[in-house]
This record gives sequence, C-alpha cells and structure tokens, in this order.
Amino acid sequence: MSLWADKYRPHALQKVDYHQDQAKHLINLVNQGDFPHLLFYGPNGAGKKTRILALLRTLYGPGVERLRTEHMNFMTPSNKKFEIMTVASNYHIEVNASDAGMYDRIVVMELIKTVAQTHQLDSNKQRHFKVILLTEVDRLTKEAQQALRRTMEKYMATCRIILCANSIAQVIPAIRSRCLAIRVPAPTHEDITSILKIICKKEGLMLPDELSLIISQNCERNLRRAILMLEASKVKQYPFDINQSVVVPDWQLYISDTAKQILSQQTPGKLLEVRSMLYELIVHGIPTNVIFKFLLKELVKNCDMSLKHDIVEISSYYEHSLLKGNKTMFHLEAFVAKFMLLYSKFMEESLNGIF
Amino acid sequence: MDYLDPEEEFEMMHADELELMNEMETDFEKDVPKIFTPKDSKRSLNFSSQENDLSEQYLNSSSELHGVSPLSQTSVVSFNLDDKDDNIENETQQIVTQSNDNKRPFCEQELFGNIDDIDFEVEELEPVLKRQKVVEQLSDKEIKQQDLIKQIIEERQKFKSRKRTNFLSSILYNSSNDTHSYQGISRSVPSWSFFPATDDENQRVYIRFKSEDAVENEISSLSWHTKSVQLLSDPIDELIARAYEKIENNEVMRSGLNENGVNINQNIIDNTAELWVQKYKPNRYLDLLSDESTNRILLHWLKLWDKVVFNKEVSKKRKNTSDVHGNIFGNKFNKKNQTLDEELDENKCPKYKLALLCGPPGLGKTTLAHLVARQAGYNVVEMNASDDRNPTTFKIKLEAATQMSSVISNDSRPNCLVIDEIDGAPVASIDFLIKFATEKHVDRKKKSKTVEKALVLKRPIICICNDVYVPALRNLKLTAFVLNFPPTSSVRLAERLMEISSYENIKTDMGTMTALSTKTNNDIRSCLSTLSCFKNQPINLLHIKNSNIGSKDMQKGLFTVWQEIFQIKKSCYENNPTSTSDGFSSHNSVMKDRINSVLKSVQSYGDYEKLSQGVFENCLNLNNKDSSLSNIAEGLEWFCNFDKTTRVINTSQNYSLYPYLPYNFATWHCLYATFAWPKITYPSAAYEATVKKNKYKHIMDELMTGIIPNIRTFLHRDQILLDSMPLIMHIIIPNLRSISIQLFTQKEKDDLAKVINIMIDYGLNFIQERDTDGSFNFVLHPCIDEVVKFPGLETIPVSSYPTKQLISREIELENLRKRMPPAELNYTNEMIDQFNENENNVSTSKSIKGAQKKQVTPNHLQRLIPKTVGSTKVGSFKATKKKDFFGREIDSPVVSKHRDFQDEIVKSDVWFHFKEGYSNAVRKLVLMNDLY
Repeated sequence: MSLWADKYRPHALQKVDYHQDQAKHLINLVNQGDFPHLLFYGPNGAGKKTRILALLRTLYGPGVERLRTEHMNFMTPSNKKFEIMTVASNYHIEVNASDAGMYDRIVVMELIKTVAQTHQLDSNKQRHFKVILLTEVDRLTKEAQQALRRTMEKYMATCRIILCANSIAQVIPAIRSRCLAIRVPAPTHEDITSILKIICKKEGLMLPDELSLIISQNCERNLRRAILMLEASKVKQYPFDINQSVVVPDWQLYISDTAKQILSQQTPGKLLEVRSMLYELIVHGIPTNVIFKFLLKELVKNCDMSLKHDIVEISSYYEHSLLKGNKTMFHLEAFVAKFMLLYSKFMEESLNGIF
Repeated sequence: MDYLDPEEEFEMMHADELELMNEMETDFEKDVPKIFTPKDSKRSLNFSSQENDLSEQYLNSSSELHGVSPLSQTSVVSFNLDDKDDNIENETQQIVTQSNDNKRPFCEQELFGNIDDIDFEVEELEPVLKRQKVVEQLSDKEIKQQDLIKQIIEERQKFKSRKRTNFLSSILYNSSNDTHSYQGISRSVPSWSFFPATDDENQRVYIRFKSEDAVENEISSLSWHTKSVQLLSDPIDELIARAYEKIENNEVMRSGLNENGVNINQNIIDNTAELWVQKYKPNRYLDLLSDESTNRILLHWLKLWDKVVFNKEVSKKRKNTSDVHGNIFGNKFNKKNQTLDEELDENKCPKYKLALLCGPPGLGKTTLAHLVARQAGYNVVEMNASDDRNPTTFKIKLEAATQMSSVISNDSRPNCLVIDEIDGAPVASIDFLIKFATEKHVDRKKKSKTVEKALVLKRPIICICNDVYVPALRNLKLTAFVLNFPPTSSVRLAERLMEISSYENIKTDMGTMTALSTKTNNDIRSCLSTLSCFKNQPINLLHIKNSNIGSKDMQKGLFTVWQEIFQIKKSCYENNPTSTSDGFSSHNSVMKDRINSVLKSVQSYGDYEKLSQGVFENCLNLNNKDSSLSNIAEGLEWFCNFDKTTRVINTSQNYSLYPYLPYNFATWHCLYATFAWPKITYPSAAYEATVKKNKYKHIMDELMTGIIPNIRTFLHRDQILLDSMPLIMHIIIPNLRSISIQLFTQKEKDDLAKVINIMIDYGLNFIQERDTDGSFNFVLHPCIDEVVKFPGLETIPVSSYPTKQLISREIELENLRKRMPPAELNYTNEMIDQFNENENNVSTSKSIKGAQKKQVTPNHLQRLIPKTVGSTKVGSFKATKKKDFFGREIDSPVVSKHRDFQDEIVKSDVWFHFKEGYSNAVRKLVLMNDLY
C-alpha cells in the first residue's frame, strides 16, 4: 500500500481528517455495541468507505482488515450460473450486487439468507451479528431493493446491513426509512488542501500553497483524485513549481476536446465527427452521467449567459431521457445536435445584432 | 372372348374408329392432317392379352401414331402416310424416329445459337401451333373436311349401332375384321427376308423375318397404342370440332388483338374448373414472361448436358458450335454478370452439375424450369416441399430420378430432376445432393480404370428456391450454377394480363394492368388471382388502387427498406394525376402515399431495431450537404422517442405500443429523404462499439480481480476507471537511469520499490510479448493502458524498455518473496491479540495477562529437550546455531524462542509428545498421594 491514497487512509474513526463531528457520532453509535442498519451516501471520494471500514474496525478490531476476495456462485431461475466477486473478512462481507446486472435480486436474496442464517460461533467474545456491506445500492434494480426491504428486518438478529450509495435518490423510500442515513459530504477545498499538505509533510516534500489550491480546484472535491493528482504531479516534476500543470485524467481531456469540436462548427458533418468521439467515450466505459456533466461544463463555459439556462435545460432533459431509454448514443447525440442548433441560432442572431 | 369389360370394350370401339379413320384417309387423298396433340396423359398398364389378336389390325394406325409421339415432334406424318402399307414400315419408322432423335438436338443447337431461328424452332416444337398452321393451309379444303367429319360421324354412329346389336357376338365382329391380312406372311416370294414354310393346305408360305428391334418396336408401338386409345378418350370428331373452333378464335384474335407481334396461343377452352394460373400457364418458350437472358442461360446450361445425356456424335458437333455460341452469349450477357461457364469435365458433363434458380415467388421459376427442361427434351421429374425430404428418402429419390428411366411407359426421354422449394429442405439432404453432384467427380478420377458409370451424375438437376441466403443453401451456392431471377418487366406482364383479360371478357386498359402489376410487385400469380376477382366485369385504375386484394406482405431486403426511407421516389410524383390541378392537396396526397409506402415496407420488414440503427448511422452521412441542423435535431429527438418506446415495450412487455414504432420511420423519411440516390452503408458502428466496450470491460474485470482486497474494498469500478487508473498510469513511471540496479542511488531505489509496490497492489505487471514485426516489447498486463488511453491524446508517459524490463523482473522477485512463509503474518496475529486485550479490558483479561507474564509456552510448542550440562556449552551451541554454512548470521525468532524456553521445567499438568506410536506419548504428572 504505497500509493499515497491508500497509505494515508485513516483506519480509525478517531483519526479522520474532516467531518470530525460526524466521526464522534459514529463512535458513540458503535460504543453501544450495536447499531441499526446504516446507509452511507455521498459523492465519490468523500470517504464513505473509509468511514465504514473504520466503523467496522472499532466494532470488530483489526481482524476486519484481513480481507480476502471470494467468488460466490449464484444460479438464476433459468438455470444460468453467474459469479460475483465479494470481499470478505471474518466479520463482514462486501458485495456489489449491481455487478450481477439484472440478476441482482437473486444476489441480494441469496446472500442475505446465507449470511444471516448462520450465527456467530462464540458470541460472547465477538459481536452477535455479522455485517453485510452492500455497495452501489443506487444501481440496484427496483426488484432487488424490494427484495432487500423485508429481509433487512427479518434477519435483524443475526446481521446488520450497511448500504453505500452515491445518492439516495435512486434508493426506494422503504429502504431509506429502514436505515439510519449518514450523509458523507465531499470534503471542502480547505479540507483537501490541508490533507495534501499533511501528506507532503509526512513524505518530506515541500508543497506550495498555490499548487495545492490548483489541485483542490481540479479534483471535483474528490479526495482520492486529489491525492492521486498530487502524487502524479510529484512523479512528473519534483521540486514543485507554482505554475506546474496538474495531471488530469485522459477522459476529462477528451471530453473537453469533444466540447471544443462542438463549439468550433455546427454542421451535420461536425456532428458526425462528434459522434465518433462520443462513441469512443462510451466504449471506454465512461458513465453517461459523467459525460453529460463534463460536456455541459465545458460547453457552458463558452456560452452567453442567456443561453446557459436553455443549455442546462436541454442537457438535463436528454440525460433524463437517456435514463428512460436504452441506447445512450441516440440521446447523447440528440443533446449535441440540439445544442448545436441553439448555439448556431444564437450566434447568428448576435451577429445580426452587431451589423 | 369376353368383352364384358367396359374399358376394353371402349378401347375396341376406338380402335375401330381409328381403323375407319385410316381407311377414310386413304380414300381422301391422304391429306387429312393428324389431329391429336401428343399430350402426356396417364399411362396405363392395361395391355391385356386379347388385344394381341387385334394388334395386327392396329398396326398401321398405331405406327402412325407412333410417328407423332412427343419425342419426335417433327412432321413425320406425311412420311407415314406415304408408305403406310409398306411392310418395312416398322423398320423405317425406327430409323425415322432415330434420325429424328439424332437430328433434333443438333438442329436445336443450331437454332439455339442463332437467335433468329428461335421462332422457327419453337413453332416446330409447338404442336398446337403446328396444327393450327396446317389447318390454315388447308382452309380451302374445309368443305372436304366437313364432309369427312360428317362421314366419320355417320360411320361412327353406324358402327356403334352395329356394335350394340352384336354386343355378345363379338366373334363375328372379329372375323369381319379378319379380311385385313397381316403383311408378315406372303404366298408369293417376297422382297424381304423370309422363312419358307408349308401350311396345312400344302401351299408355300413365306414368313417374314423380323429383327428383334422391329419386334420390340412393335410391342412398344402397341403399348403406345394403348396409350393413344386413352388419349382419344375425347371422340375424334370432338377434337376436330375443337380445332375448328380454335381456328376461328385465332382469326378473331389476330384481327382484334395482335399487338407487338406477340402471338398468344392460349387454349380457349370453355369455363373449366382450372385456376387461371394453370389455365394461362405458358406452354412454350416464347410465352415465358420472365427475363429473356435468364431463360436463355438456363436453356443453355441444360443444353450443355446434351453431350452426356443424348447421343455422343451429336454432342461432338455440339461442342464446337456451343463454344462459338457461348462466345456470342458471353458477349451479350457479360454486362449482366450471369455468364455460364461452359467448360465440360472429363465426363462430358457441364462444370456445374446443378442449377439454382432463386428469386421471389410468382416470377415463374418453376414454370421456366419445367418448360425449359421439356424444351430440351427431358422428362421432368419434380420433387417439392410436399414430398418427404429426409436424407434417406431424398437419396432414394435422387438416385431413382437421375439413374433410371421410366420402364413402364415408353417415354424414353431422359429425366431432368427439378427440386422445387429447396430452401425448405433439411441441410443433410442438401449436403447429400451436393456430394452426389460433386464427389462423383473425384471418384471418377480414382477409379478411372474401372469405369463406374452408375456413379456419375449424368442428368441435370435444377433446384429452385426463394431465398438464396438460407444457411442451408450456403454450400449449394458454391457448387451450383446460381441464377438470380430478375423481376418480370411490368410492361410485359401488363401486356399478358391484357390478353388474358380479353379472353375472360374483362374490360380494362393498359394503365390499369400496369398498376396491377406494379402493385403486386410483378408477381404473375397474384396478378392473375386478382384479375380473377374481376371476372366478367370491367375494371379500371381506381378499382386496382382501392382494392386491398392482391397486395401482399412482401418482405423486402434491409437495404431496400433503408433506401425507401432515404429516397423520395420520383414515381410518386409522376404517377399522381392530380398534381397539376391543386398544388396543396396533391402535395398532401403525395406525402400520404410516401408515408404509406414507407410504413408498409417498414412494417413488413419487422426488425425495427436494426432498421433504426441503420437510419441513425446513415442519416448524417447522407445529409451532409443540404439538410439543416434543425431537421437533424428533430430527427434525433425522434430517435430518443423510438428508444424510449422500445424500452417500455421490452421492459413491460406492453406490445400495444408496437404499432406506433413504424411512424418514427415515417418521420425520418419526411425529415431525411431526398431525391438523390442514397449510398447506404451497413450500420456497424454500434456493433463495433459494443464489441470494444466488452473487451474493455473484460480488461477491467481482470484488473479488479488482481487488486489486493485491502485496496479493492475502497474502490469500485467507476472509481478505478475514472480516478485511479488514469492517474496511476502517470505515477508508475519511475525516474531511473538505465544502469545496473546496484548502482542506483537511494532515491532511485525508493522510487523503484514504490512503483513495484503500487503495481503489485493493483495486480499490474509488464509481460514480454512479441510484436507483429518480431521485436519484443513489454506490455502492461492487464492492458489497462488501452482502456485509459484515448485516441489523439498522448499524455500518458511510457517508460523505456529497460525500465519496464527491470520493473517486470523486480515484480516477479517480489511476488516470490511474498509467497515465502510470511513472518509478518505472525506479527499481525500478535497485533490482533494485543488489540483484543486492549479492547476487552475486562476482568477476564487479567488472568491472561498474568499468564502472559509467565511466558507460558503452548503445549504444542513444547519439546523435551535434554538438559544441558553446563552454561558454557549452551553458549557455544548458540554460537554455532546462529551461523550457517557461509558464516552468515541467521536471525530466526523461532529458534530464539525455543532457546528461551528450553530451560523451563514443564509447568502444565498434561502434555504430550510424539513418541512414534507409543501409548506413553501423553504424560501426566501424578503424585504419589493421589494414588492412595
């Protein structure tokens, strides 16, 4: 674990760098020896998993950190076998049920039943419950979530479920009400800069304030990305320079390139070029919401204020329609075409206004 | 003799009639034409014994009939009439037939090559026409003929009445015919070869020698005779009457209708139960409606078989001529790309043993195959989907059809197998067919000495299918001569329809018929069926347009449908008669037509997903020039709509929404269609994208499994893809000089160690691979750099080859080191224990603590070690123990631990030591006072 992002991860709730009040609450919660089902939610890189693991550690001790990967086999009603990779310790098991796609319901049902029906061997030494950690709950299908709601209550005696999600908008209210929801907000820019400085200090490096500021502004308030960026920058050039360019992920650059293409010319031919670029993004597995978000960000930068409102509206419209549809390409391109139309119309009008 | 059997009686009756006919013919200057068509009627085996008696009497007439047998359709009639009474008749007949046989293919060949000759050939071969011509020539003798007919009728009546009276006394009747002497016996010395004999009156009788052939011929002629008797089940006068009727009709037709010089010779038989399709089936080559070049090529292919199937000498000549004509054809049809390889293999068979006719239904493929085969002198054996076609039956049938000929009937024509609807046949059968057709070729080569003629396929096989792209036909396509059937020209079809409608008293005009033929997509069958709905009533354009009869669900090809979506048909505008009167309404109606046609073709195709993908990928390419962005944006909006609808249909299985999907295509048609010819490409982008996406997904999966669980638990897929990997690619580039690892500075060593640790954590490694050009290269494995890298962006730095090599080696070493019994595991165990103590800081822990202080060794670690005598010895032992062979110090904690405990006296009550199976392994301290 020599990547800084892993190396300087706090392992105890007492040692977290930000949201300390929340950490105190969590410590209180665990010190009673028991806790309700939990639902952690917050953006990527905010520290949900770190907090969950720290919580488990205070609960079970460092044995929680002796993890192993396990492959669990499931069978669909149509006799199709599939495999899910889990990460488990003696005390908990972590599953990303959305890996199973449309069969996530089976995973949720089977997993909870098998785990929950076995009691801990010596319950006086250990806790009397195991923990099931379900990640990416917001990606679960409605059926899987429905399957979850009853089993959560039924097996309360033998297991606790910790859910982890990016947003609870996709989680059905029945589950939300059964869990204690804990929001882990993204760290503020100040938090990030201070953490970066701490890391540099521990590594014995000199980090200029300006650079840490630039990194914190470029990292989307994603702490993991911030630390990785810092490390990448360090590898790139060590004695840090104030106007040193920070390393940005390739896909981000590619999206901004796409946006540039869109803004440069608004013709069907250009649209065709943009299409191939969008295909490239999709092929690389960049989530569509990320594509929409960054594309919009880049496009809006170059737009007149009066246009911004419309563009945000159409992008949200098409992102929504994308979620209702199946073929991402149709919706992405429809958005681009619509933007081109609006933009070219606006440019024409403004040109007419000048002359 | 018993004449009670009505059938025999009937035969007798007609035989008599024939005889009478013959007599009359001689009376009437022998110029009355033979009037019967050599139809293929049912052949019966009704060759009963009593007819032997009559055979001699029938001989004359029957031989005549034989002359006009279907095989030799040339005009032998006059020849027959001339030497009617000759005794050599049989032989000559034989010769004639033979010569005809020989002559026929040759002359056809000539004709075949020469395009001008086709007419003649066909006329000659067409019995109906021939008859007609002859009758025409004789039209001035009509009165005579009328007399003849009357006389025949009278005679017939007379005969019938006489026969009725003599119904039972048939012997009398028989003897009355006895006057007709048999020419095989003569009392004077004959000119032919004879065998002298003496009869019971002691008179010299010369009996004729007959060659076996002649006898056979006689027999065969007899069998033919029985057939002819059946053929004449229609009374002769009726036939003549019909002939006259026909002549009249022809005249009417000629005066009234004859357009474009196309002769139509349809039988105008009164309303029968026949289907129109059957009724107006083309009876000769010229009647065929299908594309001329296709017909010609199939005929040509069939002619190539002549060499094997028919006489060899003829085929010799044929070959030369065929080459010449082949060249002509080559020139002529080169542009059509349907040239026929005329090469003959060593068996004198054409290169392609099979012909595969393919095309949509209703173009006349089956008709063509039958007609052409008949024309080329074959007996058509058909096999279609209604027959059982499993491999075994198929095999039997195939062999029967190609290697045998009919024995019972005297029809000596060779078989031509027509396998209809082959696209429905099982694959095994088709494979067998291919093997049957091709493998013989190889066999022949092997067994060239032992000529096994039975093995060689020597009969042409014509296969017919609708859909040539059926998987089962894939192999067949390679071996067979594939002939794509082009659609019939609607003008030609319309002309034919006009003629038919005039026969059927349907008043109509050319435009209507053209509309009908276009409506049915030039399907002749459905045209006729539609037409038969309007029997005996006038129809016009409106009828056709408004009726929903006749249009069928034609499934078009994918590209045709796309083309229809992207192209505005000019005909839509041209055909609209109201376009000049009112601009707006006409535009409306044109739009309506366009939309309807698009809807129809899209609905008939059915696979909306694929269609929409094609439209999506082509719409931008095609509209590069003249379409506005707003159109495109709107169209894309409809794509979203389409996508959402399909999603709803698929997820909720709510198929009531399904009918709305084609309207999306109508919109796209309105938005994107142009007059220009669309250059449509097959939509592959989406498929390629999914393939690539899956590939990257697999790489990601591989990566995920490689990451050590302690890190993996904090990451999920998107985070790895979006944050970790792109940045790690920048981080795992150590800044190293390309020198030996021993010479590295401490910083470089640290860098390297760090990179190696990161790569191990994330399960990455460099693997040596050979490039396509043969040079070695180290490739990241799992090749996550592929996933992270984007085209056109070269931001990710790449380490040099030696660096990669170094890293790779170090990773291997590190992995090996990790696989060694991990000492650190003990360490973590102790950590856990300690943690537990701290956590469970309750009363129970006290005792443990106390025990810990005393350093109690667990039982399993205890060893019985002999007590050392002196402390100095122990020290020396320690010193030796700590050094190994090379004198290096070994730091083993286990040993030291034992050393700590070796002096300790065992404190526990019970312990055990392995003593090689002795029962005293378990020991317990027992005090003496416990025993008392």
